[in-house]
Amino acid sequence: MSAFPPIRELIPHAGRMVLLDELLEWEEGRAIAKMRIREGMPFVKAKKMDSIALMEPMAQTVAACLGYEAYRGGAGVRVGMIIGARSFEIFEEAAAVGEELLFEVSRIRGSESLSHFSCAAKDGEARLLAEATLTLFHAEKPPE
Amino acid sequence: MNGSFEAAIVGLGLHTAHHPALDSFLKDEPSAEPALPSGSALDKRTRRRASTLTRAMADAYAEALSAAQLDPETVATVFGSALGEASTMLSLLDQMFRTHEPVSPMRFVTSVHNTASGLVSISGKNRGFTTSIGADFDTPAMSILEALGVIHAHRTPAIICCAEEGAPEDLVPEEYHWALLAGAVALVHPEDAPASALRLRLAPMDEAIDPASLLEPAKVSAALAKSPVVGILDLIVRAAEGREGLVRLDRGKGRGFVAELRRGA
Repeated sequence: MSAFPPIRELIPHAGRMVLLDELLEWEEGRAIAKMRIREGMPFVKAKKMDSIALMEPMAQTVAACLGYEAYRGGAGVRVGMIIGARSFEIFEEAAAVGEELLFEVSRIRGSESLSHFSCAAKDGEARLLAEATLTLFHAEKPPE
Repeated sequence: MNGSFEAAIVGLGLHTAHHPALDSFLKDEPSAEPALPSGSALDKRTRRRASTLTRAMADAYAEALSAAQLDPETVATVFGSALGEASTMLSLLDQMFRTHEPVSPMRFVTSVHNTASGLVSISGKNRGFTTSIGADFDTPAMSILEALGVIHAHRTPAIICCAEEGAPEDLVPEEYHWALLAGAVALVHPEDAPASALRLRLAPMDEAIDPASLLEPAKVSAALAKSPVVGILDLIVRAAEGREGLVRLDRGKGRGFVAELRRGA
């Protein structure tokens, strides 16, 4: 059983856009999450997810990292968005349906509203698929 | 360095906070006080809604256009910026998620990366190709690459304009802060240029290039030297001097591309 709350309680995404399955590790400013590529998932075409689309689960892992930070502090899920990719390097063209990928993110620096995270996507054999430095804006969830 | 497309340089333009045009930079005659770009190339209505970045781009673009005597209605344009309209975008995000104020549709329109591309082409009634590029410290190199492709595919003149507003404080750590800079280079197909016009080619900075053979970067303030697009200034200054040789376009902070300048036959 996971030591962390279900992923849907940590990130603001809903429905099919929840790509991650589980938060595996967390410490302040750092997190690892898991995603199994499934048929019918957004970004999956011809049984493959192109590595460029891995930016989204990377960002969701950042959301989970900040979300769990807020959860521990008794606050609600935070919303966020990618506002820039300082770098994005792709080492493998795509990952196939059925593969389980790990996303590791660590904060380079951050403020209340902006964070820069170093992100890596690896396959089950710890092979690096893509690396990125993402800049994200984040805030409390706006009132309905 | 062979096999790559070539173009001829037929016009240059520059704007910094202390140098409203290239001539003042080359003569080292900075203004005592920093000045905002005029955006005079934009029509009045467009100018009112244009950011400092877009106005600076418009000023540099207009200077290069005028020097090259190209047709503003047909010239292709490539606008490069690493961060684009980041300040406008961040202020809109603050309005949406912090202060919960209504967001102005007009400001939204001018918060996107291709704002200058749109406003300059609308203002100039331009019907030609236009695009926007962001590639961190490789923005000048990638803008040149895009322009070379357009020039050779469509046999049309093109103006590259690379610019960066002053680094947004929240986004960029203080030690990396840079100052406003916009530079423009007008390029045409070599066969459409005067024989005397400098030729430009783009190449990767590979092992075959002796770093000692590079032309030295332009002398600039520490704040300009940190700009992700300072490479366009280095190119503009050496081209204005009529120098031949290799200009590194990223000051060692990108993937490593050089512009080769040589005199026409």
